[in-house]
Amino acid sequence: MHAARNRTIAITVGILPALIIYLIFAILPILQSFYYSFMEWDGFSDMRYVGLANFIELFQDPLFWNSMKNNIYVVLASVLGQVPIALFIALLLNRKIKGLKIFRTIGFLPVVLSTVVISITWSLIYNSENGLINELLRTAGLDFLAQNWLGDSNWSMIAVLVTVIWQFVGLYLIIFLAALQNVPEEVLEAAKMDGASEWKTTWSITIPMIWDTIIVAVILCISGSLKTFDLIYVMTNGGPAHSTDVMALYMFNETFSKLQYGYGSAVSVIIFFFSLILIYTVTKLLGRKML
Amino acid sequence: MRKLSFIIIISFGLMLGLVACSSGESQETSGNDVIELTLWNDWTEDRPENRAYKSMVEKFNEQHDDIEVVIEAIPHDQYETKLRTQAAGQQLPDMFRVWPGARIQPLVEGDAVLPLNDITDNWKGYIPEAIMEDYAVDGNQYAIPGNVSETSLIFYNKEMVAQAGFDTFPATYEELKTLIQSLNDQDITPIALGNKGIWPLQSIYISTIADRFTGSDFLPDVLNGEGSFENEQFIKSLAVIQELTEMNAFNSDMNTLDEAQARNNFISGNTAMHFAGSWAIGPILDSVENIDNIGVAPFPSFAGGEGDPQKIAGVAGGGIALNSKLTEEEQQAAFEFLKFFYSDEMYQQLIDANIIVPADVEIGEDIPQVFQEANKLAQGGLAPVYDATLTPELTDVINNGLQSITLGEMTPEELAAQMQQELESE
Amino acid sequence: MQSTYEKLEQQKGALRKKFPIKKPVIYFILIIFAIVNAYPIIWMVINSFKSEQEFATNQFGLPQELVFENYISAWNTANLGTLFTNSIFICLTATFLTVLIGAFTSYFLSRFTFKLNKVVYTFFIFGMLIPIHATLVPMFILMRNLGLLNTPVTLIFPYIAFHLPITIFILTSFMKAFPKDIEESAIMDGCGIFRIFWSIILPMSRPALATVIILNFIYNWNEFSFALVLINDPNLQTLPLGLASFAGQFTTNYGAQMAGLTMSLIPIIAFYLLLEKEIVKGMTAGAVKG
Repeated sequence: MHAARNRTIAITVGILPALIIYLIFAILPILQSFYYSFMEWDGFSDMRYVGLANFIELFQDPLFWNSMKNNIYVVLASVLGQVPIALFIALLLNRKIKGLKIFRTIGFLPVVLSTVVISITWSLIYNSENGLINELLRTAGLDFLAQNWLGDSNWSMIAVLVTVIWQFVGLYLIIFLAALQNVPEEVLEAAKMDGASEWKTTWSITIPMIWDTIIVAVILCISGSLKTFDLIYVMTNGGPAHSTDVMALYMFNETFSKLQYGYGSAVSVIIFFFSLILIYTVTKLLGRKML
Repeated sequence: MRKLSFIIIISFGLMLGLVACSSGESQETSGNDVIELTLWNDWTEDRPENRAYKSMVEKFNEQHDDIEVVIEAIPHDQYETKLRTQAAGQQLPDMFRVWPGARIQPLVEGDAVLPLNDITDNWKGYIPEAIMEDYAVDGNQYAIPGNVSETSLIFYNKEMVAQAGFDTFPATYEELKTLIQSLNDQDITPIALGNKGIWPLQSIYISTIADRFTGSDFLPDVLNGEGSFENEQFIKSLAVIQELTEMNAFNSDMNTLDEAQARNNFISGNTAMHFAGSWAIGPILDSVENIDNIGVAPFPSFAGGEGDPQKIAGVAGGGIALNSKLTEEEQQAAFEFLKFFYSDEMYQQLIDANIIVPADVEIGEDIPQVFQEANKLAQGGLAPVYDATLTPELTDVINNGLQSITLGEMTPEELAAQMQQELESE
Repeated sequence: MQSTYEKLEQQKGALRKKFPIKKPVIYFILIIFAIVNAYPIIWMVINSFKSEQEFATNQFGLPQELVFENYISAWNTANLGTLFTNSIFICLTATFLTVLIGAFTSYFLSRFTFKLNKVVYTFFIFGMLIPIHATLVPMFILMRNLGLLNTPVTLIFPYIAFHLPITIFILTSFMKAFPKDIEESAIMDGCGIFRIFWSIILPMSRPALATVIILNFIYNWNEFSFALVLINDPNLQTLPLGLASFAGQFTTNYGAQMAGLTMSLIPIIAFYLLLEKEIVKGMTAGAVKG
């Protein structure tokens, strides 16, 4: 009885500080934002209650659906691009070969790099007139493949996706590297003794052992992708002609450029619940109850 | 176990302590007799005009023991986000930089800014009425213009244009097209355009081109419901963008370069022309190898246009608005500052920094030719700049629409219809 | 019977020899990967030494002469000295507190079963789905009401709150994987709950802790929106704001901007290198043993 009460106290004391700060400085503001979503407000004059009008308008705006479609591409590219690449590189790096340390560090660099630099350098690479990609294609005699990568609305989203994948591989790389430390050396050694190929040990021992971490990475990917903003904001600001618009960007522009706080908040509500549904579904599919 | 909870409690205590200390500090400052006025601006970059603005503030502070103007500079691209957030939280600073026309409108409607009618006499006869009006809403003046942005100038490389057979810059659109054709034949990119920010085609191009076609009354009339964007002349002006794109007048990467990058391509001699506003004069003169090789020209005239071809689109800038919640005492101090700031001395400094000013100030001999010519162009009268006149929603529609036209995804007629639809829904 | 087995073994061995991931292949892939990753940084450093004129005309090549002035002018115009101090203080404090209380919370959420466990955990995970720009205005109003605008510690609160979810998410999933019997034996030895946390769970979580520390530090170091909105006093601002100040309405001083960005990258890379060892400690330890 006494012990049980002690335990309850310990748990309460342990969780409370995090819970309080989180409630006040994260939950409260977002609830406030949800509240604005039922209002019409330009930020200067008084608010006016409009019920679900913002949501109705939102669902009728083709640009919103366009941003959602693009956002789903970002999610797919991140989950199917970042996670496998990061896992592959992590497996390559998780061995005792000389000089790997430097690759590990370089692999992480894009994560810490300013989006301004990423945007400028990748735009130079993609440039239609003298960019690296088109120059290489022309040198190889493949002129017909050269494109106006960022300037053509058929290619711009693909170009942006490649950069997005590139930017965050390093993040999942270190998450996987950390997880790989938990795979006991002995198990792998034993498997090797039994004559299992590296491919096989990886596939049937290592991957299952870090499966939970892979799910963690997938969830981080989804939640991060649905909020993606910084890089696209600097690189294309959704253009050309809305071809790279994503939901957070759409929300930002509606809120701060067009001064529709209520409408912008409605978008944030949608982003929130859309992520929730997506993550719930994915975790169900990947066979782990996360939420 | 105790140790850990102890650490947590201590860190919380420390944080709260810090909060208490610091908020205490910030309250103290208003205690003494000096009136402190915060001034928000976007003068973060180390440029001659920003140095001029800052030196004026410094000088004012030196000469006034009882008033202290405190500068808080916010990077330009984030300025509006911050201003609007603070406005939503009822925490606007005492004085802040504002942009004219449509952009000051919501501030006025929300009663956030103070009318300056009591002091406008100070600039009577010094700054032309027409330019003052850019900062007026419903007959009330809300800021004093610090500069004038002519948004539509053509900068050209004299040598390249001459090689293409034009000793003087084309005065009509037909001639301009011949020039473009002949430059293309020589494999020279005719016009450097950086439309990644999507405003240049609208602000620089359409503001003046549409005015040439429709006349300056068109835009105000349409906004008042006495006309429509689905006007033949207006559609013709949009079609100019389509035509220029189709004849390869622009660099192919126009939608991925920003305005400054396009300007750099012109400066380094990769293109023969660059269409830009008067803001480009300084940067071009700073970086170009041979100043004498750079010419500046007005937009050409368009056959059948109803507008005055002498006009050029332009709008006042550099205004500072006052918070409507200033106390009587603070108002007086702020008025004094504005009178000091918008004076001959500042305009003179701005001219030295290659900024076109609204006031009639003497221009010295040593001022570059390009600047003098651009300055003269303003005298033909100013046409309204589209994004300074349209609502943010309409600006968004035309900006994106013009980009879609360059991508071949939209026709001028469709854009005009879309704009009219947006206008009617407002 | 035996011979077939041997044959099979031989085949396997041959197969292994045929398709091993050979070192040169690994190096080749990694070198490509490294070039792609390092290029933007190299470009940034090179261009930080170019004059404005040269940047305008030559964006790819090496600078004709090294313009160190960019660094001096960047340092001075953007008041980087002050901003560095502020950024370091805020990042370290916020990161330390987030990881500390986050680890604590994760410990209870992952190692104990109690009634509201799932609910609390799910509630924290919600935080990962909040789009930050939606909260700018409410956050500003909240901080105003709390009297927390414009203080040296203002930014610490939202930084902790917004990064607790990911911290808890990663740490919980890591700690859940530990076998149950660790605590059982510790409890047998008479260890208390906090003792177990401090001397068993935390040390075991080293790689994950290092990961979340790095993540928090990077997020805080680069965070822009809250820093923009909640702080007015130039003496309290953080680095990202200063680094944005090289871009004007119509012009950008790229040389100075790249110089500023290069300088701001140094502490964070140093910080990363410091902690990277922790992440891969198992690996190096194994190497020594092997």
